Amino acid sequence: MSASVAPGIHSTASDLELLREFEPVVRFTHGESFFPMDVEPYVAASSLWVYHPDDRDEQLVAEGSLTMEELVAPRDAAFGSLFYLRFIGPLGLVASARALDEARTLSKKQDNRFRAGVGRLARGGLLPRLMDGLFSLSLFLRGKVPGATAAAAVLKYADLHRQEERYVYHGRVVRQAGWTVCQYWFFYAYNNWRSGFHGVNDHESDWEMISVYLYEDGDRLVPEWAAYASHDFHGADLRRRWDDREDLALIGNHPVVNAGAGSHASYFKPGEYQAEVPIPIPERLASLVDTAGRFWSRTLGQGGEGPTSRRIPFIDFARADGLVIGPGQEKEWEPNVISEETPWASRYRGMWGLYAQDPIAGENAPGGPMYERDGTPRSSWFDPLRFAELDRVPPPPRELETLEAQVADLEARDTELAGQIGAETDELQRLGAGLGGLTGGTHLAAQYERQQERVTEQSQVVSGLLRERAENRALRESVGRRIERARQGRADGPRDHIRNAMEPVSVGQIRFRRTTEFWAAISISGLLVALAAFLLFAPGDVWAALVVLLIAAVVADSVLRSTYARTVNRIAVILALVSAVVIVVEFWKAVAVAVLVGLALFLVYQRLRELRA
Amino acid sequence: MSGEPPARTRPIAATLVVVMALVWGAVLAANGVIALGDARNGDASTWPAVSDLLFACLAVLVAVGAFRVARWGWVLFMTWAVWALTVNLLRVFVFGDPQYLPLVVATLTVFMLTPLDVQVAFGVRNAPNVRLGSSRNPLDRV
Repeated sequence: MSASVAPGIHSTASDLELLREFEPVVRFTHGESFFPMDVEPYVAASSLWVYHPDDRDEQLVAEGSLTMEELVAPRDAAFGSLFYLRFIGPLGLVASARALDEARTLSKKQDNRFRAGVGRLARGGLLPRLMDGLFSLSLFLRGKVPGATAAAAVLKYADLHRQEERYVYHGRVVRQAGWTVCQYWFFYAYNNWRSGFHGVNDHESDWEMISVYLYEDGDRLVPEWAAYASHDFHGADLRRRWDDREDLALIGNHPVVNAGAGSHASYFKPGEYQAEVPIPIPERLASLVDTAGRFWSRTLGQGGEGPTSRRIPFIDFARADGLVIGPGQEKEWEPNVISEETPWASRYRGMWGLYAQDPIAGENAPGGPMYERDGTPRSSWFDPLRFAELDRVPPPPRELETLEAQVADLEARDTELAGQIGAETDELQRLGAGLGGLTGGTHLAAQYERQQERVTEQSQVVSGLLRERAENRALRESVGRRIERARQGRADGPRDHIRNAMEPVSVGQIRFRRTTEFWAAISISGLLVALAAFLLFAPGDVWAALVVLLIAAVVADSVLRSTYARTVNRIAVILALVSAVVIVVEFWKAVAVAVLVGLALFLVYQRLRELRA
Repeated sequence: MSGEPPARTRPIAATLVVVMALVWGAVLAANGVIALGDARNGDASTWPAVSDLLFACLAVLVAVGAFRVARWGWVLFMTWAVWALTVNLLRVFVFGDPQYLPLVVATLTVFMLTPLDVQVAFGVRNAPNVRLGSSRNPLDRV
């Protein structure tokens, strides 16, 4: 049916041959410090720890002594314990300063410095920027994975890389429900999205994955889908069909992946992706904010989200202007075939890096390919079809027979329904006639009522059957059309399954004027300094100053971001709400009288109109 | 098909705002003229008179903008409303010198001019997508 889309590979190919045939080309962003590596040197350079439920961390195997055998050795621990690796040990002040300095020198030497350009801060307005500041402050105070740790990780990874320069993926082939899935797992020593690329989080170790889904067509395995683990997306939105030239770039049979800088998220298109991270606030406060949002959009009729949006915009840079790894590229892959028989994958259930005890979890290291952080099985491993919502999609050669079987079932049911409808309608008419026979006799009131109930129930039965028949016929017609399309080639377009396509933000949206960006960078601090000055020099007017400063800052911000009309509307509504409360409190008697008189006049008007009509 | 864009219909709220702005402008102009007379007699400073007259002009401009259902009129009014509400709320909460009449006028006009449909009429916002609510007609399911 779709054999012309791609040549595929002979179905007798080994797992390694399959993996090599469709291995991806991964393009990184200039400034990236970590690349896919083998797990073994990472483990050898790490220590193994356990976190006990009594809030105690215990080192089990020191750095330098940890082998792959040691890693998977059976270990008992109490419920609530967590095993984890530690790539970077605790750093003192001097070691931190040295790490930061050496990482900077290394970056200069390698000419690998990342430049964000302008844009992120100016995107979110004053409130999101304030929240962004608080979020950064909370990370600073939580101090889970400090910036110096990232610098030390850069140096340590560079050292491992110098000893042995290898670019490794961990490949796995799994066969499920007529599909053959090639999974490519990428292991990175560190995720430095926050410290390196103004993102949300840092954590030791990082696992990312892409899959290629093949179906059997005669003696060939033909690629049909590629699914990338793109952050913030899920289900069918993660996959692209092999013939989708709009999104899926191919070099030969190799899908092109654009990796996010530091986050290592996989994207189909190169560019800068706006990730909106929800502000972590307590549940009660969140529900209060949501209620305020509903009041704004529905009660006040303002539409949209209102001024209570609780998301901070961040950028995931997937510019694809750095190192390229893949067949025929600057650097080539070294595959490492894994399966459930691979001990480190199946028998180590701990985290692959520091357990930072971060309640938001963004700074804790991930689990391995088979397991989540808590050691429970990872669904993308044991159910790779469901990961991309392919569990409900038959492989193309099976689709026609599946649809034809469905039509046959529907037709059989239609015949069955025709008989049932006839019989049940006869019964309904019999009951209806009986009901008619009960009218007129006052002593038959109770029987009439019972009969009436039976008639109603029977009527619902007949109506239900008729509805089912109508729905089945509509479904049969629709399936029939799909069969026709499938017979002609493809039943669906390559992008029909996509609900939310991941699109990079356009350059026009990203780049604000430098003055705007400068204002965005200094506005919050400027506000705080001005407030401090009022506290110091005019403490009596501090509240008035706070209100005026805040409004002035918001208005100035909106002028620079070309959102003046929207902003001034929001401020006016908020102030009008406060004024309304003041007026009601101050003149509650007059307000009550006005409401009552207004209501009375309205009712009189309505009644008089009725009389005239 | 003519190339003319469809004429904007003026919402009732806009007409009410026109009336209110004209009345308010007249009051301010009268105040301004009286204050100017006082200033000429040397009884007071000229600033309150100038300020009243300027705000009277602004009120007339708002009325013209609202009458023509012009975007600039809406933006101008909202700018004035933010100013008026801020000043009058500060008078209530901070300076202990409340003036309720301007507060009531500004509040009412803001609530008249900010619903989504009015903003759409003024060209400030785009029309929202149509949402099908549930129907009371037994023939319809949605």
